[in-house]
Amino acid sequence: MSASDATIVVDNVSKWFGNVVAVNEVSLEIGPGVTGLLGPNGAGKTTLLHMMTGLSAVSRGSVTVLGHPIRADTQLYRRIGVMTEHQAVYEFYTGREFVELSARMHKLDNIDDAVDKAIEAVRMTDAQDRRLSTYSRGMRQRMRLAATLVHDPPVLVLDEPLNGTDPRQRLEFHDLTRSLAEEGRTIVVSSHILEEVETLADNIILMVSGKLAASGDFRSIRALIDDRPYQIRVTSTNPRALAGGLIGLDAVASVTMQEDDSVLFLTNDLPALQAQLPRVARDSGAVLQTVEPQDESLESVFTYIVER
Amino acid sequence: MLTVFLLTLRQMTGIRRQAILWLFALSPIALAILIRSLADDYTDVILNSVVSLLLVPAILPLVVAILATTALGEDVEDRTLALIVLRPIARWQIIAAKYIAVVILAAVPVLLTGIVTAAVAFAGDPGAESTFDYETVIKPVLGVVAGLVIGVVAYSATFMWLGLISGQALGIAVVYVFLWEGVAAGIFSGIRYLSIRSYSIVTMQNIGGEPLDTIGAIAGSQIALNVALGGAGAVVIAFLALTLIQLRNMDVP
Repeated sequence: MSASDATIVVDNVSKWFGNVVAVNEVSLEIGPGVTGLLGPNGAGKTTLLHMMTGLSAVSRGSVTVLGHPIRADTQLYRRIGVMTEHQAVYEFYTGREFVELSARMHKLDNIDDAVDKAIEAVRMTDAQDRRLSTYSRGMRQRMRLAATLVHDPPVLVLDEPLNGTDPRQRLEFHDLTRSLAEEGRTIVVSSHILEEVETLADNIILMVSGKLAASGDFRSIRALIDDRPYQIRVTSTNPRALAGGLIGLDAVASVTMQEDDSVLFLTNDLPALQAQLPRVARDSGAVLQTVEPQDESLESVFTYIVER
Repeated sequence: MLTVFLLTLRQMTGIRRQAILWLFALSPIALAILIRSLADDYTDVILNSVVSLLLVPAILPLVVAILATTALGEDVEDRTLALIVLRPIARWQIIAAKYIAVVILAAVPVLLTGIVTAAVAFAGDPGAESTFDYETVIKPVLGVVAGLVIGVVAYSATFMWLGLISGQALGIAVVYVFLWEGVAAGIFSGIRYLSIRSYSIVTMQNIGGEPLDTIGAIAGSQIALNVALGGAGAVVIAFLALTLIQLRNMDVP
């Protein structure tokens, strides 16, 4: 992407709190479409989003949105909609009043129409006159999204927008986000759940430990993730025979006997192993007791990608 | 700016908070009425006890502190500050709207208490010729009102800034009021030049005239009116500027 196409430009940005480096020399450009900001909890996603939206100052580097330094001019927020991670709302308001508040702060010309449209977009018309304090988390998220959309901004930054939503609401959110993106908007959606972003984003920014681990088309990053070896620990009634049987499998890269008589092995072909393990156990005369993936956390997946 | 002002009014007028605030703020009135019904020299007793020892040094700063420390502090704590600063509103407008809301909400109960308390102290008996005499009744009541207004505007700016920079703002405000303005000002006479309480009392005396002389005698606030007004103005400007700088530079949670 050329700099002229980029809506959001993050240039060599770092952020530290005392001695802790939360974001370390990140540079990226984001253009129209849906971009997923992905990474495990604590990876620095929210800190980066806060700097992108002007909520936090950068310790080093610069952030521009629509060509302007984000913290220099509050009028830039006429063209940016931001939904923060925390589900903060004014609970004494009804859903509609909350969206109206946002519309008034943007000094919109036709507040009623804008509010109607935003609430309809998140399918909350029926519940709009209830107090926010009576909403479920998912409903609250949707009304927060309506307040974010009410001024029809070309740039949307949504931090963990699917927190607390149910599967149907997620589908609706996906549809809404896709349609907003098709209108030419730049939408950044952060998540720590890979599958959440997979179906939504055209491009991925992958963060691990405050660093930019990867960025680009989702399919290439997904391929990296799928290629990684899985580490699995198995306990059985006959571990040595089981280990011997596993060594002969093409799907197994290495086998190690552990001090507690469990067997630890690496596989690059999880589906094949899943199919073959019961047979190997039977042939070895071993009864499987536990089969535990050792590194299924998202952090380990991302760390693998960084270390490649 | 009007939207933020109305939002702030709504935030700070929860029933429980207002009930506690008003009960606290109005307590000097009950005490003044009790004293008037019991003491022969009730005017001096009310001035020297209710106004000098309760209304000005305690009720005024604490009522303001309860409101002002939450004006921005509650937004930080609840993480709702982002809902305001992510809108196209200049930071100074946010602060101005919040500040005006605090001043109004604090001034209403404090001034009402001041007016009624002073009226109980100075008004003649009902039906008497001197009930609402200007020199002996109206003027000292106006003095009390003026002094309380100075206190409200200066404390509001100070404590609103405190609420933005600290999660323990109310506690710090209480410590400031009792240690700095109470204990330290009593020991080191120079502190009266840097004391909102002194600015308030001096304004009361100068506007209210002779009937309010005893307030100053007790509080030891013998500084010139122009120093008091200038000091209060400087406090307001300085702390609103500090609040603006903090809001511009801080990381909003």
